[in-house]
Amino acid sequence: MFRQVLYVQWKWARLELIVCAIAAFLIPPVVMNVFIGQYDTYYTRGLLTGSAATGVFYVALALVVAVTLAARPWNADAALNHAYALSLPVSWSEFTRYRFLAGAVLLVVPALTVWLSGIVTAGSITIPPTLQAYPASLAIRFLLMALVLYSAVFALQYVAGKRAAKLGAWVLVLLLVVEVVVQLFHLGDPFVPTWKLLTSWPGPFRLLTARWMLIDV
Amino acid sequence: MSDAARRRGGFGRAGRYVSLALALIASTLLTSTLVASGAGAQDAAQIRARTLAASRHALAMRARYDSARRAARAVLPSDSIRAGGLTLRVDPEVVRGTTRRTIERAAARASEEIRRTLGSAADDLTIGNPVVVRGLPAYALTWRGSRLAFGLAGVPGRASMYALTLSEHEATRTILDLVGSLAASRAPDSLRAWTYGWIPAFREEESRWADFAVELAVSRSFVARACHRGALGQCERALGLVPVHDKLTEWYAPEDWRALLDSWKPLDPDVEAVRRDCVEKGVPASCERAARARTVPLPLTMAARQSLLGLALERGGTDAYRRLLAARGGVREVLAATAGIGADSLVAEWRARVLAASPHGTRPGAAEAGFALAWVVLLSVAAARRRP
Repeated sequence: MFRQVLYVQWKWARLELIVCAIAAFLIPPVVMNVFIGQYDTYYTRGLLTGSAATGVFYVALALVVAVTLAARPWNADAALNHAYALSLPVSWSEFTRYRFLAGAVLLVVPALTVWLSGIVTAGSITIPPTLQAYPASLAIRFLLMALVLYSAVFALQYVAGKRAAKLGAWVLVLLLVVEVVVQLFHLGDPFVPTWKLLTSWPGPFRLLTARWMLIDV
Repeated sequence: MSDAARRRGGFGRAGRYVSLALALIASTLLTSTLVASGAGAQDAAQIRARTLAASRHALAMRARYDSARRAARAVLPSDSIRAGGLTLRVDPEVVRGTTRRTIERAAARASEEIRRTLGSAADDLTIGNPVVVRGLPAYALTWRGSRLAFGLAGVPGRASMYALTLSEHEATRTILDLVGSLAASRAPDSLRAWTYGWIPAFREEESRWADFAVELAVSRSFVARACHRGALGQCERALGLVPVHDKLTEWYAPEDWRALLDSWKPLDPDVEAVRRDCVEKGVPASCERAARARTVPLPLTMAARQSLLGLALERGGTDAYRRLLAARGGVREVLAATAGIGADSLVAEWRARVLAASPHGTRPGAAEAGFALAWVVLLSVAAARRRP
């Protein structure tokens, strides 16, 4: 049954996955070449700046892939009031597990592309002796981060159901209101500690704020 | 300095407040005058009302300035907060409640850190030069809300401003930073000049060592990059332990000069033209001419130098700071005496430590990966709990 679920989810998400894979393959070399020029001292710094700029792209890509793979199956099932899922001879929790695992397996596609793209990019430029390329490490970090983001969006979608998008929007509005209030009354900044809590140990998004560098020291 | 003056603390910022207040008063009066003179359609009553409003505002500014000056000159209790060998004098009117508790906790943490880094020789550092924490009243046009000013009594210069809601970490780092200045004031001249009058009174965080690794690898100076690749002699040169005759050629290779001039903005238009010639066209003669016109920057930042001293203190154990104070000679000799090992070995250890902290791209550690997967399992289990 898992194979069927995986096949269906692949059919649903293949267009987005292919677009993401192409972006993952093309954008890093383009960005790197924008930041580097003639091979001299400039080049070393430009290479590191370019690598950091590419890191932002990888984080954005992980988020896009995670949201796509988590929201698509729910929306398809919800369009039929989950009649298909509930008519199957498996429990809801088992079916959700299949859906989750299928999405998680599909994350391997963009992760592999990130790895291949890293190898190609690193091979196409001259790397100074003080720096190194880390395509495999980057792909592993991408896969882990995409998995965590995917799990978070999947959990939000399957717990909040139809209200997931609305809930997300409300959270954003609430954050905005809190920000305005604390600024008006000089109550300090609540977002820095909250952000730190989420992105430092034991927060779920610790990988997000790490260095996303294809070329690094 | 008289006792009374010492009790008042050595901030000496009255001049700053005077100039700030005068500037504000003058700008207020000038603005109101210009607005009034420009408004040709106004009648005499309107102009009189504007002038009155401006003078009231100026009086209010004057009152604020007076209160700021009073705060700066207030006599503080001599032993407001004590933690180990550390003494702080705080303004009891502003530093109270949560702020006071935060500063007390910070002082306790700082005291432990100082004892760990500098040993018992640092116990009497703040005797005669306590850390002073004054309150500065709200200054409508500059700050929103009262501020705290951290400084050293009897030592001009270093001071840091914070909101009353400062964190314990901020307070701790500020106290340690100030104590670092005191610790350096007793050090041998050669070392004091080398570290620009500051000694680390705390152990560097691991993330800072990673910063030094990046600094070493992408430095504009060839000696720093050579140090990264393993040339220990160049490490000493990059850290400023070797005397140099021509900084430009001994620290920077001709191919580094372009990068050296990239962020520099000379005031002389002729030099600026030469600099552009170098940066944009890469003309070697222009690069040398422009590079000779500027102050040659250090190959590595002062923080990197201070990390070497921090390592020497760490390597030398609890008596390291005592040995540092007693040492004589150049920087190499002082560092060797502090660390209890030769300067060459110390530099080699420093380099090894810097390289060990290299960020290595994005390689996630086993714990990091395991934790991420634990979150994945937790969230997936949570997702399956609710049936539509």
